[in-house]
Amino acid sequence: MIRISGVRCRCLYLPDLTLPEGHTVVIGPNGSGKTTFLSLCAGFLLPEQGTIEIDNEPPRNRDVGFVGEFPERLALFSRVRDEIASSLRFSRVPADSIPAQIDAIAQVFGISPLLDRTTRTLSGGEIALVALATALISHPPILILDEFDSHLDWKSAQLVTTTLRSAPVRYRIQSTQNMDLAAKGDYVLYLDEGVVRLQGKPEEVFTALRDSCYFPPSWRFPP
Amino acid sequence: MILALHDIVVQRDGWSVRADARFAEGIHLVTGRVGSGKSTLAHLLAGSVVPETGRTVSEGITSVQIGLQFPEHQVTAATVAGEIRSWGLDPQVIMPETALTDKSGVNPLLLSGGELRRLELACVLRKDPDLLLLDEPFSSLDCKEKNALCHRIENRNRGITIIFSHETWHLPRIDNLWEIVNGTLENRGTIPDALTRWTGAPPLLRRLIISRMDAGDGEVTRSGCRMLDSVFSQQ
Amino acid sequence: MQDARLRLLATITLSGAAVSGIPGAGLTFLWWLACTPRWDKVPRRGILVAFLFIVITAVVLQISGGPGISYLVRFSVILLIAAWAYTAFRPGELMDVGVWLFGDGIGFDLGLVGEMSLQSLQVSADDLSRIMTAQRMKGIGWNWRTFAPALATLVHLSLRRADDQAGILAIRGYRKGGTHIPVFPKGKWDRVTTVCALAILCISLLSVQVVVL
Repeated sequence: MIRISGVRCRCLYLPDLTLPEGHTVVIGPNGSGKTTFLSLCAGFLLPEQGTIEIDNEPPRNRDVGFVGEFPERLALFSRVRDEIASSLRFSRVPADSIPAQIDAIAQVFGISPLLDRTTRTLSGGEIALVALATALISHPPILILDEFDSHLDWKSAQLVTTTLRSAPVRYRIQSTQNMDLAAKGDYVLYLDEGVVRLQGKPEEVFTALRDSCYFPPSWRFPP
Repeated sequence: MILALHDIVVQRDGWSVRADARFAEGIHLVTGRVGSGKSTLAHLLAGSVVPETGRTVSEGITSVQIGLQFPEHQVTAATVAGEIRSWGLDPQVIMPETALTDKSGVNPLLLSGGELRRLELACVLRKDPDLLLLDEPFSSLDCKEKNALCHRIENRNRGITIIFSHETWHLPRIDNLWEIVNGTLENRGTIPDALTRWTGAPPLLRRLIISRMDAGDGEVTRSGCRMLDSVFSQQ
Repeated sequence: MQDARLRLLATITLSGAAVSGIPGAGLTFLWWLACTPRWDKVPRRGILVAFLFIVITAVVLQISGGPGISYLVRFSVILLIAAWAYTAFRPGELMDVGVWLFGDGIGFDLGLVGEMSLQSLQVSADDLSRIMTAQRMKGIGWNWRTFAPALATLVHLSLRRADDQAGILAIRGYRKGGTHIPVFPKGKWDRVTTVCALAILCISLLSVQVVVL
């Protein structure tokens, strides 16, 4: 369980919020506080006021995988291979087991041909996939994705969604502007002007958004 | 006004993109998978990437502008107002239009992803160039912003507009569809016929195109996908 | 030269030889002609700027009665060696050498700092060229009035990246050190050219001693 109480940070105000295990999707207009919310959950930002606890511990004490809104800004290493290996190396996983793990996760996301390239020369979508592999290689129980799919074509996004569904991630919190993707989440938060306007199962939240452009197109035109 | 690419090849370590194409006046959409070379092609047309072989020929094009995939790469000033002025535009016009009036003194790099894109797109569109290139303009915009952008692109009733995008729903009415497949830019032709030849069409669009199902009068258009308009207006 | 360790050794040795005096600088120049691909891939503009600084210092030194010409010769040769070492560098090598020299504690940390600094340097160079492209697209010339905001943007981007990287290091579980197995590819002529570099240092030091005696 993720418990957030009395949190104030930048434009965001979250008096009391509880998120269940599973896949939580955060939606809302530009500038509504989605990035701030995700950065807080990842421990990337600390709240000015209030507390966030993931299974009774602050995010910084937990193993978190994080892919930011601009993944090209967050690469530490020049070589893709080094970037993906970083969290394993930092946590002192035996060095001889690392190459096989890199190759395996690169295969899953179809980025094997990129391993010997430099992170600076990748396209927006390619660096997003590399960032996801980097975040997932250490099997973190918490995965935070900030508008990650905005860099991907629908086939790549679909591949990622399928892969993540079978990954052993306890909490996946993801923001997106793709409402068809949001509709597949377990829990949806609709943020607006720094507060949670709607929350609940996709059916509940999107029924309330039926007359807006936030209603998932695939629901509007069912097969 | 014509922009022609003759036997263009751009090569990077490990991949290449080829193009032999003619872009006439109107709105073009170029689609393709991650890493297929959409951005490279956009930069080539903007003149900031030089091809290994081939040449581009333009007729009647006197001004070119590009809206970049990462709008922060376009920032050259330290405030929102300064950034608008750096485009040679009036902050008093652009700031209300982008709802950034109360942020005129803020560093553009401190805006949210969507806000910065809105700002840079507003400036690029206001310049109204002969050749307008938009690299992933819809990414990180919310659906209202996407719809507004579609309208603005359609209302530009002059020049050549080329959109490079993997957006799956909020797309404007376009004249010509292109696809980068296996490293080659391919012309799928004009709408609506091009839609049936679109190999990488997003699943929902594909279904709607094939079934020609519009659940009610202009429902598809109203919900943000204006691209399929011509499919349903033929019925 | 493929092996990063030998390249580092040769760079240090030859810089020592070149700085020791004109004979050492001359021999180092010959080594540079014979053992490196010379101007291949060398960033011309950067070299030119560095060379300009050397010339200015040499002129000032000569006017004030110092050994300006000797300085010019010695440091120009060092510049050539530095340019070669820079262009021959491949990402990942700093980590390889760091861990090989000092192990996976302090060596890993040194390698990490080196790799991250180089990455930041290259990203900043990319940022600068992007800002210049953006200015060109906006029809702004590159002059003193546009230089200041562009520089401010560059500094802002670098600061934000440093901030982001600190956060990312924490999130990826970095505390101290890490595991890494250094790999050093072997070049055919690596040993021979390194021995030559060592010989050049010995000869230079001997010639300095002869002059002193």
